[in-house]
Amino acid sequence: MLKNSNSLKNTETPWKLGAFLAGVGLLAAAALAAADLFTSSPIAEARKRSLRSALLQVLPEFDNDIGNDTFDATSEDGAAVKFFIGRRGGKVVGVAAETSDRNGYGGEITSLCGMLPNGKINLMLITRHNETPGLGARVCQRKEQKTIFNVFRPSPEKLPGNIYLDQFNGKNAALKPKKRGGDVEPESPWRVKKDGGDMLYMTGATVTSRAVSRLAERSVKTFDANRNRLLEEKK
Amino acid sequence: MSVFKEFTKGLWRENPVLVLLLGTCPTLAVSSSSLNGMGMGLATTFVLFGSNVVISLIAGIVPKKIRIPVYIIVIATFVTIIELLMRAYAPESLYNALGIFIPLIVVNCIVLGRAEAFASKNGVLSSALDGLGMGLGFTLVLTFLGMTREFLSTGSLFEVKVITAWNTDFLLPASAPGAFIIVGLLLAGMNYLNYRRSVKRHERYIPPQGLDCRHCSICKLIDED
Repeated sequence: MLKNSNSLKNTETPWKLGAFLAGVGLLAAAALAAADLFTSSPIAEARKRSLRSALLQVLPEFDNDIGNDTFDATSEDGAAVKFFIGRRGGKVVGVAAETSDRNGYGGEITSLCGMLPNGKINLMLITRHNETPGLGARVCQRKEQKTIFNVFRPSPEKLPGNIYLDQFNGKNAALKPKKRGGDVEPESPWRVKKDGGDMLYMTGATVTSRAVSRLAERSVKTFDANRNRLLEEKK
Repeated sequence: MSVFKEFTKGLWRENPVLVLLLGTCPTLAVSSSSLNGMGMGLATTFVLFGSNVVISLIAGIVPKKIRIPVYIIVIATFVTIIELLMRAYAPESLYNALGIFIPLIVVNCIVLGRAEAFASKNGVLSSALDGLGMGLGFTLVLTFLGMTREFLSTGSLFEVKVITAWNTDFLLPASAPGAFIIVGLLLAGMNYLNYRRSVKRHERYIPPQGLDCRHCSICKLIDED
C-alpha cells in the first residue's frame, strides 16, 4: 500500500515551511523534556551509586554521607582535584582524590586515589579511560578475567590487583628517589623508570603509564598541600 | 510483499550493512567486542523502530521540501531518549564503552535511509516491521563481527575467556585496519554464499538490484516536481 507522498500545500511559502519546522521542533523539545524529567533522578542515582562503590573500594570503612562531604582544590600544576572525605564517628579515616589527566594515549584518564590520614595511598582506581585494549587498558583496569571455568561463580569481594596501580600503595608526598650508583642526579621518584624516576611502566604503554603516575603524584601532593583543611574533625 | 517478508528482508536478503552497505561507520568502529556490538545494535534497533513508525505516521502531513530536516529532528529525538535511558539504566561499563557512539546513531545512514526510502512511502505496520528487521539484521552483523574480532584478539566471547591459555592480545582484529579486513571478508563470503545458492537452484546469479545511489534518494534533495 503505497501512500501518496505528494503533499504539496497550496501556498508552500517559506513562512509556512518555517512555521511547520518550528512546530516539529517544539514537539520534539516537549518529548525530550518529558524524557529528561523521567530519567534525571535515575541518572543521578546511577552516578551516586557508582561513585559510592568506587569510594568503598579505595577507602577504609566510613559511615558519613561522603557524597556531600567533599572539598575542591587545585593542584600545583593548575588541575582540579576533588576530595571526598571519609569519616567514622566524625573522625577522618581516609580521603579520596578524584582528578583527570588529559594526556592519556586515548584521551582523558580519570583516577580516584584513596589515601589514609597519613597521606599514604591506600588504593588507586582508574574510573574512566579510553586506552587501547591490551596495552594502556592493562595499566588502568582492575577486572577479574572471567574464563569458562569460573563464569558462573560470583565475583570475589576484593578488587583484583594491578601491578601498575598497586605500586603506588603506601607511597605519599614524602617519597624520596631511590639511591643510584654514580653521580647521576635522581629525578622526581614519580617519573617512570625510563624517565629517570622509580615507577614501573608497561612496555608499549608508556604514555598511559606516565599519565597514571602523574595522577598518583598529583593526588598525594595536593593532599599534602591541603592536609590541615582535609583532616579537620567534624563536630 | 507479505507482511512477514518486510521483517525478514532486513536479516539477509537486504541486510543493511552487508547488502545495502549502509551504516558501515558504526559497524567498523563499535564491533570490537561482542557486548559493545550487541549493545549498539540494540540501541540502533530501538531508534529505527521508533523513527520508522513516527515518520510513517507523519509522512502525509510533512511538506516535501522540509521532509529531511523534519525526519532528522524525529530521529535525533529518539536517539536522545535512548541515550538518557542508557545513562540511567544501562550498566556503567556498557555506557562508557558506547558513550560517544550513541549520539552518532543520528547520522547512521540506515536510520535516515529507511525513513526516506521506505517509511515515508509505506504504512505504519510495514514500516514498523521494516525498522525491526533492519535493526535486527544490523544487530546480528554487529554481534557476529564483535564475536569474531573479540575472539581473534583475546580468545574470549562476551568477556568470558574461552581459551584460557591465551595470554597476549593480538591487536590487529581489534583495531581499525582489522575491522576493514574482516568486514571485507564477510562481504565476500556473503556474496559467495548467495552465488552458490543460485547455482544450486540453476538460476543466474544476479546481485541485488536497485540498491545503488540513484535509487537511494537521500542525497537527492532537489525537488522532484
